[in-house]
Amino acid sequence: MSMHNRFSVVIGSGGVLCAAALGLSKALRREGLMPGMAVGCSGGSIYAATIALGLEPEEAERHTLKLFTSDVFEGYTSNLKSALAGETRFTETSSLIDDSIMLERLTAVFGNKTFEDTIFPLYIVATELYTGERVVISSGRIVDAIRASIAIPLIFSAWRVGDHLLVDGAVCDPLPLDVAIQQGSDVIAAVGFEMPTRRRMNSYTAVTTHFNSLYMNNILKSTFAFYNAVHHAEIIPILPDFEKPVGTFDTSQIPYIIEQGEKAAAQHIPYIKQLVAVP
Amino acid sequence: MLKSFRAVFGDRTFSEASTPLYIVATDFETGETLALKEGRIVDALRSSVAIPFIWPAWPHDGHLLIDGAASNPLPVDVAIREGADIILALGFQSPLPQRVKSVSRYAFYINSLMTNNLLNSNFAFHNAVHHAEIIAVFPDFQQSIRLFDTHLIPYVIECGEQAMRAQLDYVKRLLQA
Repeated sequence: MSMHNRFSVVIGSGGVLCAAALGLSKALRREGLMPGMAVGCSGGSIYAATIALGLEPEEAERHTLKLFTSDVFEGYTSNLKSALAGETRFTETSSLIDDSIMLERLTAVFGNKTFEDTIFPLYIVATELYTGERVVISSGRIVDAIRASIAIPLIFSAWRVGDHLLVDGAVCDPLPLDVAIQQGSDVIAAVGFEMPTRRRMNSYTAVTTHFNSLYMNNILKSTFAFYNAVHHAEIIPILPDFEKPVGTFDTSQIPYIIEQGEKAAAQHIPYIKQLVAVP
Repeated sequence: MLKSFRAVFGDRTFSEASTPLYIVATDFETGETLALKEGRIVDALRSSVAIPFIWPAWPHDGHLLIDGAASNPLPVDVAIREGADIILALGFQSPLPQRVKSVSRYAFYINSLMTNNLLNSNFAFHNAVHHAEIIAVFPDFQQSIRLFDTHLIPYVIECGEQAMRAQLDYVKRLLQA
């Protein structure tokens, strides 16, 4: 396995769809290609971290199957009801879901590992709640960075890292190619997803989720267009072809998601090899 | 709101405008941006101001439309597409409340953050890739102005005039070129 400093893997937001990055990881490993850095946002931060820590894709897959089970979202409906009725106080540090199960699962995988334990540099993107600005985390406990980056608005509470109160990275930079470019990468394998939108909505939650998806998708397109236009990096989008609809939290589809990620990545391997071979 | 709009615009249509008029709204279903240029102006305005959670989406020409800010908060691209190459762009960051006190305010707050980020990235993109001269007229408000602070409108206009005056010589020079 040879490491290529200029080559990076950037994994954007997208819930369980981000597991497609494990397919990319498999395809790269088979060819002995190791990136020089990994960047992740929201759900993508989990896989950027497993890849940077050198976890086998198969092991990361086993963890994933245990991570997003339905009990992670327990209590949502009743908490929403009482929050909307004004029975419970809701502030910028509140949430509709108790994060203890999620945190326990993440800790089971990442423990007290820090950014210093990675094989190559890892960057995780989150959003500063008070300003909306991008914050790149590259030190401290990996669990804290992931927890901040996946703080889906309303669902999981904002998370304090250092001086910042942080929420979901997708609020500012759903596919953070800019971080890889700033860190000197000019060959980037990018795994990004649009969030699913809805046609029918019959609850406050559905409407909020839909609005968030519309915004995040538009920010994704806008930032992607910008980074593509102005930077001189070669950005290779890895676009898995999901022939059937896959929900963002549909864990039963994880093996299928990874498989499609691998197929999409395989098409680009010869080109990536050619690019990293250029001195 | 609709009553106020009707009082001003009545049944006037886009075809009555003395310069071509485009109003941007967002398709509620797909999130795509739409530049409206036909029909009653009131309908287009009502669609374009349909702030998420505050006013309901507005059915227009086969689409269910919401706030243009959800896709294109400062639509310089529409002007470029329609052939303008000198553009005065008035853009504003959505004001952020100091404190969040309820679940609905939280959702609204996050939307404001995303509107601002979308404005920034769209503006950066259009500035970078298009060959139009985009003159940002961003007034410098010395006090915080919230979405419905109508009593501050005279002050808002004054700041707008000051910001424009600062660019006037440059605009004149461009128009003479």
